[in-house]
Amino acid sequence: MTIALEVKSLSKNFGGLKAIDDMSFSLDDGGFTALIGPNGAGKTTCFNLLSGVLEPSAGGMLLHGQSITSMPTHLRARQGMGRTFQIAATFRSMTVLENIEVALIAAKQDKFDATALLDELGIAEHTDHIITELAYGDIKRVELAMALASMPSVLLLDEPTAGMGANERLSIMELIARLARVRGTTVLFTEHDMDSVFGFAERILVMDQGQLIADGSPEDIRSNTHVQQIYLGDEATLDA
Amino acid sequence: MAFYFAQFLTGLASASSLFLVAAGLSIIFGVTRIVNFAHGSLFMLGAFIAYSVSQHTSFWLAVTMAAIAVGTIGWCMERGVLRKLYAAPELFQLVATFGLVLIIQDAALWIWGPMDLLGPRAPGLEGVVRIFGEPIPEYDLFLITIGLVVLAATWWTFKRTRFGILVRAATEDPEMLQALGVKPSTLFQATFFIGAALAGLGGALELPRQPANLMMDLNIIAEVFVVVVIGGMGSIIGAFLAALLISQLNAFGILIFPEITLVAAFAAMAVVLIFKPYGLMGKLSIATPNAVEIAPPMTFGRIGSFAGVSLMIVLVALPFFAPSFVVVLLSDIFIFALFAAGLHYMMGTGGLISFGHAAFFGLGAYGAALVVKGFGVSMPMALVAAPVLAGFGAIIIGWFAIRLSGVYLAMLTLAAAQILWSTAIQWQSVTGGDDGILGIWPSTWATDTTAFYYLALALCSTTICALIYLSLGQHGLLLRATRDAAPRAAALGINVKARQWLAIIIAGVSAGLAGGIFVFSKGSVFPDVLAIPNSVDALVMVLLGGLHAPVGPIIGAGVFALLEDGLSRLPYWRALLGITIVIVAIYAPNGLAGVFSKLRVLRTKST
Repeated sequence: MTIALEVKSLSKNFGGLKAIDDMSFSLDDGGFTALIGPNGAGKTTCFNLLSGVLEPSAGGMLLHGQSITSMPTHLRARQGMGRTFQIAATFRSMTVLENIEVALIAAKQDKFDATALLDELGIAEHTDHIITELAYGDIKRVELAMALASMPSVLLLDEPTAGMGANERLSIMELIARLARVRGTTVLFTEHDMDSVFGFAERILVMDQGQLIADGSPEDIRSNTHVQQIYLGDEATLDA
Repeated sequence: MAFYFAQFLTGLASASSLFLVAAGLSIIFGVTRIVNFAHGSLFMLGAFIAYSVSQHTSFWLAVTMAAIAVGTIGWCMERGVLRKLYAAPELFQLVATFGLVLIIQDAALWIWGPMDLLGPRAPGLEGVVRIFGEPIPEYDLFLITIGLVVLAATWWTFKRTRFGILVRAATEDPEMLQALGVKPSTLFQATFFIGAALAGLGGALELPRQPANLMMDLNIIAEVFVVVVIGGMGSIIGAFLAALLISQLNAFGILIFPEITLVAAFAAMAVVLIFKPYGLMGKLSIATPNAVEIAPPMTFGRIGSFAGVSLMIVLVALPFFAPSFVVVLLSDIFIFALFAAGLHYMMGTGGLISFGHAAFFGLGAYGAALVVKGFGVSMPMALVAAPVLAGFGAIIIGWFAIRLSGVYLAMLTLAAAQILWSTAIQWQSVTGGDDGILGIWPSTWATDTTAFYYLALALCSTTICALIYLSLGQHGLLLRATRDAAPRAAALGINVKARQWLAIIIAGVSAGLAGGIFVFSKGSVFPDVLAIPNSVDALVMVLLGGLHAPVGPIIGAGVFALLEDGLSRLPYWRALLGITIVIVAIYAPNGLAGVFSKLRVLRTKST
């Protein structure tokens, strides 16, 4: 198995605060991995470092064996790194289809079937609607569609189902997992909903206070006492 | 050595008034997130009011009263205009304060007249002190002290008083403050009063050094923008350090290159921005509001295309029946529509605010004039040189501009245009200074009014159509993506900075071509083409037409030219323009195109 993304001793300080503290891990090609941890653990900061929104204070990362540590965001994207944002970011002056078009133009994809993807995501009826006319759950879907349309090899999803109902979450996660499997995409996602995490992740990384404190299969993590402590013995959440 | 020390003290004295104005601007920005373009006007009012009061009473009382009066004027500005715009995109806030600049300028002209007014010397400080044998005016030493006192007082206020703590809290997180039960409107009013009073004090204290005059507002605001960009917006210490730096550069620059003191200031700003994009003491503000409203392009479908084609047919046929003054007026409108169309592209589609679009127009105009005078080339070659030179200017200004956004961008573009303007005035051997360059006439085949009309129509309509095509096509789609959500665009692989740079260059080239045609239509060029009013004209045309309508610049230029033709003979035409700007910013942010489209929606609904 080759490594898609390798993170080496990554650190990020904001003034005196160590938001990310000496974090190392690697993602195998085609893996479906969750990154969890309590609020403020550093998940989003980690994503921002991986995608190049923030510069690391120390350490670095390799994408398919190539160092991307000092590469600007757009070049990382062209090397195959896609992402979504915790608060969905879309182009609000455009229709749903135009949003996807931008992704396709940027990724130089001209044979992609945007309609089919919108159909699968359940937003086909909104194809020609301006983003501002959509409900938040649908905007999340549009952003996901943009990220998927650019056919990334590594996809970072920051809370992909936030703001959706329980049934919706399940179907979206199923769709993401299926597309990732078919395409061989490496996925790293954060999520507060434990059903999504334990139901879909093949591997779980747990962060607390900027550090990686556990790494293993869902069973390993479920039985990890350190992780249970951090979630304040809230086993109901983990077992659900 | 002693001479240099004396020069250093002169620099410090000038730094004081610059610092007072910059500090006021910074405090207001920190709390309200509004860059007050009219801050230079408040400085000017300070000087004029101090002059008038000092005619009846002592100088020191006049200074105090001027500061209080200007503070009150600032408070009125906040209540009357700006408070309606706190939720508006940055562009409209900036534009509204610019409207106030025009209104205050004409008000000052009306009250105090066009003459420079020489104020009294400061009683008790008329003499000079000898330091190392060099004469130093006592008043300069007093100004240096005042600068330090105000620095200490503001520092103390912000660190130690409840008001200061609230102001700092508001700067960090305005919403949190509201959640804690502090009424922001009271704080905003107080801030505006204090910020304006500081500017008024600065202006009043200038009176013994220079006469009160109508140029003070724009002269100081360009320098103040350089100061706050260098110092970092919202930082008092930063403003102080930057005011010192700029004043010393002026004091010593004048010894070495008397012609280019402003250029030195700009170079300093450039160096700082390369290493510290948010200024010496500035921080990246997390929550930056949108520069412009995010909206889809406003198109008018079949009716729009029909209107466009009919307009073109009418324009082509027009010289056959219209009187020649109409033909001349229309040629001018074409040029201004092109000038505005470039700005519209970068500002509407790209969200890149410019208050210095005249820089490119002027570069094109001077470029064309200089190649004709210097190399004796023909008009067609000059019309190639004009956009090329403007394009180079846009490459350089754009290189700095893409490092900035929103209000910083507005300040940088204004400062850049102001510097080119002063270069055009001061570099007499090349530009002819205030006398301009005369006798730039079109090729013989285009001297006839009608022939020139067709030339202007062909060049302008082709370029405008190209710009509309760009903004509605793939290129515009990607540019809008960078405007709507830059992080999202970057994460998809779009090089945001490169797209924005390209947009600025396209805007610059278009304006440059417009400037080139303009020179041949007038036969001459003067520094005016680079001046702030010319930039404002372009802005007004874009906003009047409608920021989101690709045809906006055409409508805007047409209406603006008619207004100017009808009203510019009125004595206070600039104030009328200012009032129009304020009204458009507050009540019609989508311009005339927005009004049309609203009417259309109403009509469709009623049928």
